[in-house]
Amino acid sequence: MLHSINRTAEPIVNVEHLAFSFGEGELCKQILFDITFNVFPGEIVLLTGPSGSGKTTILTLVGGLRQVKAGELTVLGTDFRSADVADLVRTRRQIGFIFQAHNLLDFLSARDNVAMAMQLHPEVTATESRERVTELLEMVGLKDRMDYYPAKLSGGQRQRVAIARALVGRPQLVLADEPTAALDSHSGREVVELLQRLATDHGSAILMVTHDNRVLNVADRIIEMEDGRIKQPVNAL
Amino acid sequence: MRSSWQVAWKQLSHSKMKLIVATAGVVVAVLLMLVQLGFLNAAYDSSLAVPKRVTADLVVLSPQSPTFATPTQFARRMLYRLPAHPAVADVQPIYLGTGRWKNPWDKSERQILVYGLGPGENMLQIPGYADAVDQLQQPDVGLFDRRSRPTFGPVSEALTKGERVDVEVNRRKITIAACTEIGVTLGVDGNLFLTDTNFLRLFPRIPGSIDLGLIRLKPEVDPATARDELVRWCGSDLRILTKAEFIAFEKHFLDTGAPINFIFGLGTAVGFFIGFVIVYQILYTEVSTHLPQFATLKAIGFTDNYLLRLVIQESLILAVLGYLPGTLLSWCVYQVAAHETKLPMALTVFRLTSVLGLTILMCIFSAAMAMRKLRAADPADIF
Repeated sequence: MLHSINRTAEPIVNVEHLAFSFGEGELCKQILFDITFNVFPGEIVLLTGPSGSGKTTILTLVGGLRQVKAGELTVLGTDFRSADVADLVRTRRQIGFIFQAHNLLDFLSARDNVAMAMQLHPEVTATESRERVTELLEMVGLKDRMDYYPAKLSGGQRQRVAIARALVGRPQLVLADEPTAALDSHSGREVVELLQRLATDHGSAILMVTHDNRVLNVADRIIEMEDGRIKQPVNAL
Repeated sequence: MRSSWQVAWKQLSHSKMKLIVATAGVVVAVLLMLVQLGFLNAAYDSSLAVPKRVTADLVVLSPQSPTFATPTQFARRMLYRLPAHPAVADVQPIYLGTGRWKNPWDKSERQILVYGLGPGENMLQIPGYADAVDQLQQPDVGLFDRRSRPTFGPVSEALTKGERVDVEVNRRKITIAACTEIGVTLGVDGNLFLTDTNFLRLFPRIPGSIDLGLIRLKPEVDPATARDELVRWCGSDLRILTKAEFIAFEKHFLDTGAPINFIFGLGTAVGFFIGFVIVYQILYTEVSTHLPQFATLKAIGFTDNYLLRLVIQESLILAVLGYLPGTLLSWCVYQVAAHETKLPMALTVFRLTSVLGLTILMCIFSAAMAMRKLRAADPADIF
């Protein structure tokens, strides 16, 4: 798995001494302690660990969905500690999100669900945007299902539509939360290979939370979490 | 899928049933608003129709009359004093009374408003009066308003066929010589025009008392100036108004003295409210059932404004979808209502635009209420 990870370049995600807690005062519950790691272009990093260990919280922080309170966090060149809401939204547009729940819009066909994400990229022409949508849906194996509504698709197919939606904007960073959890081993494998291809072809970085042992082998690095701390960095290479 | 309008339309049209219900809600609202406002305007237009037919320069009423249609009588001699003033060219006394008209076809009795027009220049514009004036001078001959309600009998049709129409008004036989076209109001079902002499045969009253006086001024006399001088002459015994003031006086009575504003205004408000509730319900359901999806959209970089716009656009689509059939339906109701009530029901451009504005306002208002739910969509809860 010696593909093009460029560890000399600027890291896409730079986390230093990040801490996070919910609540205030006596009810304050600290979730993350002194988290430090980097994700470089083209790198696939897995976050594993038991539930409640803080993996998802890291994902929401890196995704700019929660406000950073302590520590340093820079994503795609934006310092999240000093970023305002508009900065966060702008950065989020360059991130591909893959959620555990696909959350497709039931009133839009597979094609429209993916195409809608292209509204966030007005700089791309209508023609190119249409081509990209078709290309991605073909890539996730939904060539014959493009005009189906989510209700008519299987769980795996819906998840693949959601992945196409996350990737259509050619994000430099993909954040994925258990993308294979709802899939059978075959579809799960396909999804992971797809993400891998993205990392290789476009130099995108991928940060993925997973419990799924079947996908561990695609990782360049696995970060294992326990009780809000990084247990030990394991080099998958 | 390049625009949020398309997304808005797809969300609305995904469930045809919901779209139909929401549109029906707007249709009902538009229909109610247009019809209620139509009746309100018909009530005004019809009640002001006769005042607007006054061609006199000044109008004289008793200060006790709330409206010309329910007048308090005053002495004719007070009106006949006025030509002594150099500005006054002519005066005409008008008598008004509610008579009982016996329909000669089915023998039913109806109330009819009877005008007695004094001698001199006729300063009430009544089409056909001048042509029939020779006949009307004969004893017990009258001019009938063909736009009276049909309960008075097919008078106009019979006259057209050349038949003689004798009716009974206040137990006295009256021959209808011809027909005119004036129109009815909410309170007046029909009109009959007589000379003052014939009028007084039907309505015995204190000699020399009249209901309305009309004044023709000499040319190049300013009505307002003349009014001021005449008011100084008469003191508080008479109310003297210019023509414009007379119309304003009648309108003021309708605004304050009659409940029409309240009744039809309430009807319009109910229409607005029904539309608001239905559109709100539909949009609220749409927003709340799609909260996780909307939160996802927020997470991937759509702004709050985009989602707000989406909901507003949906409400605007509903406004337009419901407005068009609602207007068409209202037009049908107007035709039927005009035929049944003989009231002037006109679908004016002004009313169409006002109701379009109200409909849009109603839908945006619904959207604004439904949107408050959007804030509950927190993208951090998605993972």
